[in-house]
Amino acid sequence: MSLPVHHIALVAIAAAVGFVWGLREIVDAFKFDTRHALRTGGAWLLLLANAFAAALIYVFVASLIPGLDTWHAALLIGLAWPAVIRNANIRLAATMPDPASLDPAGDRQAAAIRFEQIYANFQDLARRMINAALTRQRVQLVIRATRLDLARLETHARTLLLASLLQNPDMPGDDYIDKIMQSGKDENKKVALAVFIIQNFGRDALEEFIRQQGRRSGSNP
Amino acid sequence: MTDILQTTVVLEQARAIGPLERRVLRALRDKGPGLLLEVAVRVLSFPEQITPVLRDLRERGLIRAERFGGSALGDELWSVTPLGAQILDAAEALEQRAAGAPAPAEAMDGTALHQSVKQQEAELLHKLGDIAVRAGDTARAAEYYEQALKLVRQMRETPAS
Repeated sequence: MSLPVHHIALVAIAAAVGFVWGLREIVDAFKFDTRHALRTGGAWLLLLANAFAAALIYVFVASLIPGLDTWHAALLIGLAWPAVIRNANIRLAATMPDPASLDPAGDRQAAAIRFEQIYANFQDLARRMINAALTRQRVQLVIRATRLDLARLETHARTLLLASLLQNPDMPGDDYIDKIMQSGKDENKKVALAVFIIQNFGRDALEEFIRQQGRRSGSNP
Repeated sequence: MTDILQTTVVLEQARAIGPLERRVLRALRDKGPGLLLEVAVRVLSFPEQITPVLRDLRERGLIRAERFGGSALGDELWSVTPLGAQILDAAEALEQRAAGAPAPAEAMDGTALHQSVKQQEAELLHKLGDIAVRAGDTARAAEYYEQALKLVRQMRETPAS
């Protein structure tokens, strides 16, 4: 009874390491947006696929090589599974040579699908899903910001800029905000100011401001 | 041979990139994909000013656009392609070399100038090799390194006067 539990624990270790690998990829790719990225379906797809692939490769390798049912083997394979994937080939055409071809070896090579390519395509898909979700979240935030008072939004943008100029003199001056305020309709100005805040100071700076304004209008109807 | 041609194309495109194009590519690489207004704000510009730049970069295969519903910020999500990132890296390497150059080209004689250009190309190939290694393409990295080595050997055979 304890044997399957032991094996399940080892598979879980490999899966957990694979999960952490996936997390590292998301942190690398999305840096300051990691917190928001982790709230998207694409991120969980990537994390679970990483965990599943690590567990699957551990089970596969452990079934081929005896004596790998130790926790450090599970840990090592969990860590090394991307390298295993990178070097593995599935040769789809190996059993189906084309009789018309003059170069069957070349055909097999051409038809060989690298695991790495499959994984890269999957990563790309997950990344696109995350990017689309993050963009939708930013658009929603900008729409919420357009309900704010223009003068207050402008003051907030200028204040944030001033504060950051003290820490980083290379930040753009406020003449860009002047240009925004000279352009078009109020609605467009609000959109541009909200995007300016998100792009330069992060989503939290705008989210917090919207919350503050909501509390203020709640207390001063 | 194809690889040498590709390297030449990368170098030529890197040299041909304008300041605004470079800022757009850098903004997309560093801050991730963005809608039209987001990209414009990142480079402190306005949508009508960067629309032609984005179209031109897309035609050259340096950036791509994906449909993204209707939104006040734009209806396409722009992102940099691997080729765009490669060309931006090459352009930045050339920029760094130019900034750190010890003497203006006019002050050099013909051989020294030729050597300097070769050295720049060798360093750039080395950098492209490093990029290929990071991307996991060791075969391509080896080709870049071999080309760089060839240039270094040529420089040793014809020392600068």
